[in-house]
Amino acid sequence: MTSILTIVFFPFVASLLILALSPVLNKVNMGKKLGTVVAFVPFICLSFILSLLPQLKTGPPATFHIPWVKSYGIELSFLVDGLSVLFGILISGIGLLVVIYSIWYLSEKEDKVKFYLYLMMFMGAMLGVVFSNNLFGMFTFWELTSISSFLLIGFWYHKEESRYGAMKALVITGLGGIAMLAGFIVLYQITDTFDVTKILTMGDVIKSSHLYVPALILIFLGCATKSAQFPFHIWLPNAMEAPTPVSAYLHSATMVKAGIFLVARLSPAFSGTAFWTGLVGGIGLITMLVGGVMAIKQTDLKALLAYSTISQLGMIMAMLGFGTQYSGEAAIVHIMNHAAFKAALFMIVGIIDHGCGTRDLTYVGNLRKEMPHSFKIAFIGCLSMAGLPIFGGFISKEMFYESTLHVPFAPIPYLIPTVAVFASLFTFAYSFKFLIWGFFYKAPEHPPHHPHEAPVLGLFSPVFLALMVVLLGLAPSLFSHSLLEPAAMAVTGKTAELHLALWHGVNTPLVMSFFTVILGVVLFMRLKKINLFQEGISNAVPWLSPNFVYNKGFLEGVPPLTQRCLWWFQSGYLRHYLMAIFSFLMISTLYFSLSKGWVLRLDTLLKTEVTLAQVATLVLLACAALATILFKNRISAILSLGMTGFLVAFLYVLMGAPDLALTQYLVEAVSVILILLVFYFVPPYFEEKPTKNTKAMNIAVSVLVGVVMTFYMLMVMDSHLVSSIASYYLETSEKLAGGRNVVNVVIVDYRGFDTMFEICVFSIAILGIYAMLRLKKKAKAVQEEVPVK
Amino acid sequence: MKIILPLVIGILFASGTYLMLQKNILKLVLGLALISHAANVILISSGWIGPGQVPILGKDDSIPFVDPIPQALVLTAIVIGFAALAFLLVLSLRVYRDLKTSNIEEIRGQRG
Repeated sequence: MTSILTIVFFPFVASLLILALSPVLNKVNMGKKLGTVVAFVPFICLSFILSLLPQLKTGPPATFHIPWVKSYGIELSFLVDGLSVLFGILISGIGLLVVIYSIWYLSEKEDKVKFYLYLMMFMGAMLGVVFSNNLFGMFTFWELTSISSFLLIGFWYHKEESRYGAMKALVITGLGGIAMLAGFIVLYQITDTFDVTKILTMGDVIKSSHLYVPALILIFLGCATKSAQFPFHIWLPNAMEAPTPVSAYLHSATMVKAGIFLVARLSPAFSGTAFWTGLVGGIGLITMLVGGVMAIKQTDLKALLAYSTISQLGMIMAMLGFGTQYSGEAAIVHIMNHAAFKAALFMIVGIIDHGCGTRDLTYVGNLRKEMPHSFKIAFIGCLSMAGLPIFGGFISKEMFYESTLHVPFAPIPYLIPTVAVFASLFTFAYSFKFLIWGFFYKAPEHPPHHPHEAPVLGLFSPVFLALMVVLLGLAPSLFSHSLLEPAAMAVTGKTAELHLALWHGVNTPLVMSFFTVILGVVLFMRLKKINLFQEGISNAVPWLSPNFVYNKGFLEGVPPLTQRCLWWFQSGYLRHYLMAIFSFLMISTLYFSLSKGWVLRLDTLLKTEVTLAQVATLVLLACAALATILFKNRISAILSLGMTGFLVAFLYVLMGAPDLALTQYLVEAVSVILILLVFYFVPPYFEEKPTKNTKAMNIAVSVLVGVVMTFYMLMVMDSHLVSSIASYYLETSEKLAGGRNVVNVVIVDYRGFDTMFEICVFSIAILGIYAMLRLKKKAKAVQEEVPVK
Repeated sequence: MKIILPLVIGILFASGTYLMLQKNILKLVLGLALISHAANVILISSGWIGPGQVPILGKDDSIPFVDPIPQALVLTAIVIGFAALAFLLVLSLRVYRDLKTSNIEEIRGQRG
């Protein structure tokens, strides 16, 4: 099982290596070398994952544990089954292709070190998510993918849009992540374990629990935000500010499927209830429709693909939501298909962007002749996306239609198949908008550059993916037995046998596909009018979009609120902090002592004997303390403080502590001299002029402290709650340490370490004082060098 | 004694707190010194059982001894308290030299 550790941690090691070598790498002009070297990382991961394939069919899923927090069952553990291997292949395989593509895509001046550092970090995190067998481990990797996605979206951080997009993605997926963590904890309340394999066997317990609905909602919030489901989909279009290889990798093929993955992973335990189907299937269908409707409106090709990704993710989510065995299998097949054609199409957009200097359909069009190879790839990709035969997309679209016919808990018959066909019309329309507008129609404006085709290095990855799309359509059995069946098994919990083929005879799904094509063509023909209509709607009612909520509600509402809270907590005035600290300490002391049922026993307290010396010392002490605050003249105040110290020392004498008294006398003498010395250099007390309120508050807090401490002392004075270990010291002091002064023996012998650290503290204070007194000029020089902004 | 001592400790704490809440950095130092005295006295009195013998062996071991542990702890505390006091004093001196103020509220907001 060491291979699983290699798979997950090798990318992290690689990113650490890149980080460590970055000073060297930044100096030399690397050209394409770094990308070439980095490409070996996903390649090695991919080959390790492929080597896991044979064991999927034979044995039960393999797990691997490294304990972490044992008492809570939190551990780093990995699970190798069909689902994790399928995702692992997608992540490392597309990762490899993306790295190869990025070698061509990134120009000389880009910060490649940073790019590959983040990319490898993401790959490791994503592999960690899919192979995790412990919900806490999964959550950790999950958040890491959010962070690396944030860094990659903001890769061109000098652009305002990049920063906006990065922030939006982080806020939305981050909030979802917190909800998910809460969901995991609720799930733990039900199952008492964080172990995924154990949770999967407890489906009945989970579904019958009263915490089922909250757990599902919270976990699904995490999945829906990550997988850009309605209404959280708004971050994905803005995430397109990332470099195109990143969009192809994170925001279409892998990271946005993490939510899908988790839903698929947990579906054996959670699915099969009306609530599951309503929530997951319902949100999925809505997302599919909304994404499609938005996609046909876009003129930016990348935005079109972003919305189409949202729509396709919704479709997969819907299939998982239906919760039947067949729909689970269909979802798995479509995950594979979508990753292939969508990554290819994104890469084509990158090539168009490079070749024309823009990717907006207002400027780009009729590229068929200038970019013949890209055209062929786009042709294959778009047809597969539209669900047309001989490509992979057709098979999974048919399976989707078939599964909509048998949805359990369907509210109205034929509703779901109708919605599915209706949403697919938009899929058809945007696929053809990409293909026809981009490669056949003439654009209204001219692009900044004359279009030119990418070199072999840029075309390699999309060509490879296009080949996969064709293979998935013509020879699906190549994948179905070894890869897709075990994955489907993990999702449905039952042995799966996939019979993937293009032709199943004339049946309902085929008829539905037929209608889709006919109506889709009609929709496509009227696209321009519909787009105008859509434009009108979004101008008339801007608040309809969830973006409105984010921009107006979140961006404009939350920062002022947090700032106000922050100012309240962190006012910057020491006085406020001290008042908060003192009040809290006193009130909690009072609360706990009262709640423990402590009582004042005044009778015993009053009985104890009092000597005149004690009373006199204490009264003087109180007077000296009060004098310290009352004197306006600071010399008198210092002398009063010194007086307090000496009286405390005398109190020690009365209480049988001569060593302390001696120390206190010495320390107090030196303190007074020191304070006077310092005061000599500092001007007299300035007049404080506190407002009435401030003064009242100060007095109130001080009196509170005084009263509570008095009360506390009265209560603890007589109660020896724990027996002292003093008798041990008193008995053994002479025998073991050879000293009769027990206090001294305790200090230098029994608690010698205390004394040693005390000396350390003293030395540090001395060093600090020395530094503050001597390093003056140098510090000033530094201060002057800092430019004042 | 057992009724007066808590009262005096309360007065020490209250005066120390009041001084710490002032704006003058030197008053803060004085307040801190008062509070550390009060804390030390609390510790010592927790080991004090009324009239008892100084914990030095060898005279007459039958009379009960005062608890030596709080004494040992307070001995450490006095020394560390002194170190902290000296450090704070020099810090306030330094603050005054560099920023020409000993008002805590004027010190804030002095960055770059």
